Amino acid sequence: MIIEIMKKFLKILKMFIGPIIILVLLELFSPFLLHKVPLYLHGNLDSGLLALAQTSKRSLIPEDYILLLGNSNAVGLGEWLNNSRNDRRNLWPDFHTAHILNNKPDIDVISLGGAGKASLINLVFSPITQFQYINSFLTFNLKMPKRIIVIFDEGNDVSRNIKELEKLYYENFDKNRIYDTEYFRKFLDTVFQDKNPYKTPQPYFKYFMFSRFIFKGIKGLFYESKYDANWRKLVEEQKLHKLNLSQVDRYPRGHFLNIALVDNEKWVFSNKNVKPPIELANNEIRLGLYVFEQSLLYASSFFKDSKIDLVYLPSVTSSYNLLLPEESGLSGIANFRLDQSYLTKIKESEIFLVKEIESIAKKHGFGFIDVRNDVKKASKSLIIHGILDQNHFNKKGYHVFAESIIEQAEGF
Amino acid sequence: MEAYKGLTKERNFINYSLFISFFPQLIAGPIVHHKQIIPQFVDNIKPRICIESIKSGIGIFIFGLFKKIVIADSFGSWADIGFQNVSSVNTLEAWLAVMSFTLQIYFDFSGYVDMAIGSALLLNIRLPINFDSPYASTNIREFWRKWHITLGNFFKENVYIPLGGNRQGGLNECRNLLFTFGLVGLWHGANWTFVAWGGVHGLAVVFCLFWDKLNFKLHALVSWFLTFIFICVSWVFFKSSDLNASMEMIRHLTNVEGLNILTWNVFTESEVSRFCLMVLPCIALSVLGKNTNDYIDKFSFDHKNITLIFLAILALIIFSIGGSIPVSFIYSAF
Repeated sequence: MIIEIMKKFLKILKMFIGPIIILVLLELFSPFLLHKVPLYLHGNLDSGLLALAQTSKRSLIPEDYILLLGNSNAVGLGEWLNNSRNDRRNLWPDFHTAHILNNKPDIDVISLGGAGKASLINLVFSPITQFQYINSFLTFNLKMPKRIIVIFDEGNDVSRNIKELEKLYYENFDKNRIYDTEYFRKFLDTVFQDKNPYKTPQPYFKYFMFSRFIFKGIKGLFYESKYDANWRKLVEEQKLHKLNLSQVDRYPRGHFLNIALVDNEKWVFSNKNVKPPIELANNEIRLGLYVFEQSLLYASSFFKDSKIDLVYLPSVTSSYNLLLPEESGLSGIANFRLDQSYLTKIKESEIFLVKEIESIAKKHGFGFIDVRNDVKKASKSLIIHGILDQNHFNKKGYHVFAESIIEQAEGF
Repeated sequence: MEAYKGLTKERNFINYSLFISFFPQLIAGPIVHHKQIIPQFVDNIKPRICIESIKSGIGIFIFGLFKKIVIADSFGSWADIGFQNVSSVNTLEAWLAVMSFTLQIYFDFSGYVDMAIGSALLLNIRLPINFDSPYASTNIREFWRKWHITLGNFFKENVYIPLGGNRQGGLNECRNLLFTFGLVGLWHGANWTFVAWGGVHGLAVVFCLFWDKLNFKLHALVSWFLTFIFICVSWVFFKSSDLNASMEMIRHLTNVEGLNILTWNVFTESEVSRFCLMVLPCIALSVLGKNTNDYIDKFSFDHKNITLIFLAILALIIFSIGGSIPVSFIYSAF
C-alpha cells in the first residue's frame, strides 16, 4: 500500500519536476536581476526592494552612491514618469532627478523617498526601514551613501508634518514635551518599532521574490493600482490652460486664483495646487519645521558618514510669476475669489521658509542648495510642471531642478 | 459554392446555424467546409466530453495564446514602428521591421488558429490544421502547401481547378496560377498592395515551375534561405499602406551601403536589444518547432509538456501583469 502511494507520489513529482526546477532557478536568480525589471513592472516588486530596481545607477548594488530623500519629488512622480510608464518602447527610461544626476559620469543615485508623506516618514521611517530591509537579505550588501540630498518641499512638508503628528504623536505622547528633543527622539524610535512594514511574522517569505512578484501581479490584474487611481482623479477641469477672458463666465465661482505669466501668455493653474503653508498659524509652521529638523537629525545619525545637502524646492504656486487681478485682466469681473494679499502671503511664507531651512542647514553643518532662482528663471518662459499633474515637475522641470543641484552642490 | 455544385447534403437549419456561428473559428478561420464540421455535430458515437480532447485542447490553446501575446505582439510593435516610419528607417531598421512583421504574422495567425483548434477540441470538435511549418519551406510552392492551408485549398478547389489547373500545362498553367494568386491577394483587401503581394507570389510559383524543369538542385539550406528571404520581402507589400511605401521599404532593404550604419533612427536601443534576443529563437521555433498537427492526437500531460505549459503560462502572466496593450489579430481584418 505504502509502496503504491510512494510510486504515485513519485509519478506526480516527476510530472512537476520541470516547473519546480524552473521556479527554484527563478527564485535563485531573480534577486540579481532586479535592476533589469522593466519600469512598468515595478509595481509588482517587493516595495522594500524598489530602490534596487531603480535604473539611476550602473549596477544592482552601487558602491559609492548618492541617496535622494524627500517626498514625491524625490521619487520622480509627475507626467514624465506617467508617460515613461506607459511607453513600452523603452523599458528602462529616465524619468526624474535621479536619472539626470546619474547621466553625469560616475554618479549613481538611489532614491528612498516616499510619495505623499511627511518628513517624519520620508526622512526617517521610509529610508531607514528600506535600507535595513535591503541589507536583511543575504544576497545584498548596500553600503551607506557617500552623500545624501534631502529635498525640502515648500508646498507639502510643513503641513504634512502637522497632520502626521496628529496621527502618530498626540495619542500616545505628551503634547507639552514635544519640543524636548530627547523625548521626541524616543517618539521616533517608537514609531520605528511599531510601524515598520517590513517586519513580518513570516520573515522567510521575503526570499520568495519571484513568486511574490507573480502573485502580486496576478492580484493586480483584478484591482486598479493606487497610482492609476490617483492619476485618474486628476480631472480635466483642473487642466493647465491659457486664460481666455471671453470664457471666464463659464468657470465655477472662485475658479481663478493662480494665473501666471509664462512666455508672455497668461496661464490658469489649478486652485488646488500646493503652495507655501499660508493657511497655517506661525506656531504650526514652527512645529512643522521642528519635525523636519528632528527627522533630518535622526536620519543623519543613522547615515552618519554621509555628507548631507538640503535642497529647497519651491512649490508650483511660488515657482511662477503670478499675476494680480488687474494684471490678469480679471479685476473688474465679479464672482471670482481674487485677493490682493494672497500673493503677498505666498511671497512672505516662501522667504520665511527659505531662511529657516538655510539656518537648519547651517546649524548642523549641512550643505544648502536653493534652486528657486533657476526654477523661477525657467518658468518665465517654460511650463515646467505637468499639465494635469501640476504639483510635480514635467521633464523640463526635472531637468531644471537637477541641473541647478549639479551646478550648486559642492563636488559634483 | 458547394450548394451550387450540388455537394451539400445537410438540410438541418440548426446544424447549419451552429456551423456558421461556431465561435472558435468565427473571427479569423481556419476556413472550414461544412462537410468537415457538421458530421461532427451529428456524430452520436463521438462523446461530447472527451478527456483526451480536453487535455489536447488546453495545451494547444495555451501555446496559441503564448504565440499571440508573447511573440506576435512583441514583434508587432516593432513592425508597426518600422512601417509607420518608412521614410526614416535605415537598412538595418528596415530589415528589423520586415523580419518583425514576418514573425508577427506567422505567430499571430498560427497562434489564433491554435487557439481556435484548442477551444474546439474542448468541445471534442476537430478543426482542420492551417499551418505546417511554412517558414521551413525550401521553395515557394511548398510554402503555399503549408501556409494558410485552408485558404490555399479553397482557392485551389474553387478558382485554380475550375480555370483548368495544370491540365493544359505551359502558358495556360502560368495564367491560371497568376490569376489565382492575384485573387488570393485581393481576398485580403481591396488594395493594390495585396494584389502586388499575391502577384509576386504567383510569379514566384511560376518561376519555381520553370526552375523544376531545369533539373538544377540547390543545397537545401540555400533553397531555404532564398525562399525565406523572398517570403520576408514579399510581406512588405502586405504590410505597407500603399505601393509607394512598399517600394520605399524595399529600397531601404536593398541599400547595401546602409549596412555599415549602426545608428538607430526610429528604434530605441532597448527595442533593438529585445529584437536581437528574440529573433533567432523565434525563427528557429517557426522553422523547427512542432505544429499543432504533430501533437493534436498524442498530447499528454507528461513532465515535458507540463514544463512547457508552465513556462508559457509564466511568460503570459509576466506579459499581462504590466497591463499589456491589446493588439487585435491580423487576420481578423480579412
